[in-house]
Amino acid sequence: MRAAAGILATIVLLAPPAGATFSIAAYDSVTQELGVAVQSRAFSVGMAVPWAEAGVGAIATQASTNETFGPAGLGLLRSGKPAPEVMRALLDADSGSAHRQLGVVDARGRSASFTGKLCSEWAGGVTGPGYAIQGNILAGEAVVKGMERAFLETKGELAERLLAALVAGQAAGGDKRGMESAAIVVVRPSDQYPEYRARYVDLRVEDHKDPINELIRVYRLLEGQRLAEAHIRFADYYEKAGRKDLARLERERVAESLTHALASRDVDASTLNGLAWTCATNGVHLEEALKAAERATALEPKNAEILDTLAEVYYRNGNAAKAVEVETQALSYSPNDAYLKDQIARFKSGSK
Amino acid sequence: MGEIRLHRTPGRGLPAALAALACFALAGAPSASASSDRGTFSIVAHDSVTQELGVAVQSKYFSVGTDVPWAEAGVGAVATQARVDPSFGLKALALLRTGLTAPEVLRALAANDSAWDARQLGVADARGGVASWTGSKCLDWAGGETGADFVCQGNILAGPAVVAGMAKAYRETQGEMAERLLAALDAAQAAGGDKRGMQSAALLVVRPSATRPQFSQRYIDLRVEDHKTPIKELRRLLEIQEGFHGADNHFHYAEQYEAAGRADLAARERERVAETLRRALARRERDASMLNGLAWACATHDLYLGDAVKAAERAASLEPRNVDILDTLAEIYFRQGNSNKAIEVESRAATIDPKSQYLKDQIARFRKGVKG
Repeated sequence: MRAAAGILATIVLLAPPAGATFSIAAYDSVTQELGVAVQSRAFSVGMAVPWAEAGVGAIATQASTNETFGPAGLGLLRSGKPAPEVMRALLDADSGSAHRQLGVVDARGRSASFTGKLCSEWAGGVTGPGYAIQGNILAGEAVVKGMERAFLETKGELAERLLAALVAGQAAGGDKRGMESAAIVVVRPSDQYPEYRARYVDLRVEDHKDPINELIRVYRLLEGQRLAEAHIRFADYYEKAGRKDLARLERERVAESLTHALASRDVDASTLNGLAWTCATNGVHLEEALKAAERATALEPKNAEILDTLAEVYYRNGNAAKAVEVETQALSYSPNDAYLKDQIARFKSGSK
Repeated sequence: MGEIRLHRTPGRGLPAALAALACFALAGAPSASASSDRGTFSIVAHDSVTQELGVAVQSKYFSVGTDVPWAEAGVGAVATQARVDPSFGLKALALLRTGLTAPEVLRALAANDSAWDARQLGVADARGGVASWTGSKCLDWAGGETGADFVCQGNILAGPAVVAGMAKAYRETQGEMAERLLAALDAAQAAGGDKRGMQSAALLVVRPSATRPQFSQRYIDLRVEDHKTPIKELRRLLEIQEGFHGADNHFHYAEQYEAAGRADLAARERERVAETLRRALARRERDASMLNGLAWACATHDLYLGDAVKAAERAASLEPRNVDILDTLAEIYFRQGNSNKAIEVESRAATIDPKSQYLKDQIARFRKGVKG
């Protein structure tokens, strides 16, 4: 048995570490997002490795994981110490530092990565402005190099770039022992939606044969069911703050999600429905939204919620007659739904 | 339909509460989505012996664990649901941190919310105070039940039996908080659960520890984001967690209690590991890493070696070429005084992984009879 988290502190017997993990901690200077994505051979890596707080920093603690580095590191970052100093402070206070691996990024994009000399081969990391990438018990250095390239070359929001790094890490041979769990955390400052400071994207795959693909699958669900709305919220916020450029970027993210979803062969109806609904009710990307709603309807033709979205999109596109027709069909599947009746009346009266 | 159940109202008042909220923008934006009313059931609890605070939740919507459960050791635990305002999680914890009781927190949140009659919340504070709120506009059936140290609540449920079943199961189940919380979810589902079905579940338990500060945020923190049978999947994960981390965690608390002169509580923590072992053997656990984690924790603490060896043997039969597992089995044989068998098993491990210095050191150690 490899020593699990914390055992090392209490017993003399030193078994090789349980790690076999690769991770990336990163910062986006435009959106102020901070995030961590990680994959491991260990169970529920998301409980141990990733730690992040908006405006503070992001930490990945692994190999013979010292989980206290998470809250302790965030505490030091909160006091304004730069990432490299925080890393040194954590390691200096730890007698087991030769077994640790740690990546730290602060809220100004400074980064640091450490690999203890007793981490099992191959182990190492790479850093650049705004990111720290590291892994242990890997197939080789190509894993972290591949992650770096994917992170730097991928366009779009931070979560997409973090997931692309995991995919590239695995494609380069990844974790020598195979896969069990994965996690992604992204945090983002917001006064109006303070929950984003702790959980903007916060998804787990605890025990799965193909954890990275499963993580991407649930991330696609999140795009439709939470993130599209979040982007519109940030767009509204930036508009009010006089930052039209950033507002446009946020709306562009929704368009990217739509493009992804429409290009995907196995997209989930709920993702399409969520994207279409968000676009319809906010009057953005209506043409693509119509395609998404039609595709969702093709996947689940008797789902009243999806038909309602399709009707709403038609209505916002100026096609009230089609809206009434589709909503009437929805009502036939859910005859007691007062909301659907109100919608039909609304479409007939022409009010927004 | 809903009411705030008030337990007691000590001195700390709303001014402190409002100061705590000052760091948040109070105007909540109305949600645009037609489906923003989400069917959910949850339980929020406090354990006065272990100081654990926890939330378990199931819902017919994606990734309920992102929005509903919030907890911090020494502070409180919150479930925010129905027309979910996820910001209530952090706001409630900030209010609890100022010393407000659970019922006072609900009053403070209500005072600043324009959609309070569509909300549902459960709150437990770190002194055992609890409160549950179900707004009159929560969709049928909606309601909650308040126990001595827990609250359970749900909306868009099959009926009142769902919440009653949760409460009964939590009261009657023995063992640690996570087990009791999951038993409550099981009972809710058995009573019809969420009218709309199942999609996601989450379990969050926090616990104070002087030397493991991470437990203040994540003692047990498991998620099922999108699954056909999320509660069943959550139980599967908890069973793995019990071997993988749980046994080590209980030994950690046993040592803390011993050092604090609380031998009774230390014995209770160790008993939790014995229970886990018995349950794993009884259900013929098939997850080798779970069995291995459990056996290793027992071996290195010289406890329950009789059952631990059965767990390790079972793990080795499931994965006969897994070096970690063979090492665990060898370690237990050695601790049981059977050096020959320990050397034999570890030598088998060393033939599978001939480069490992660790395994060579172990064999040398077994030959010498050094305990480690």
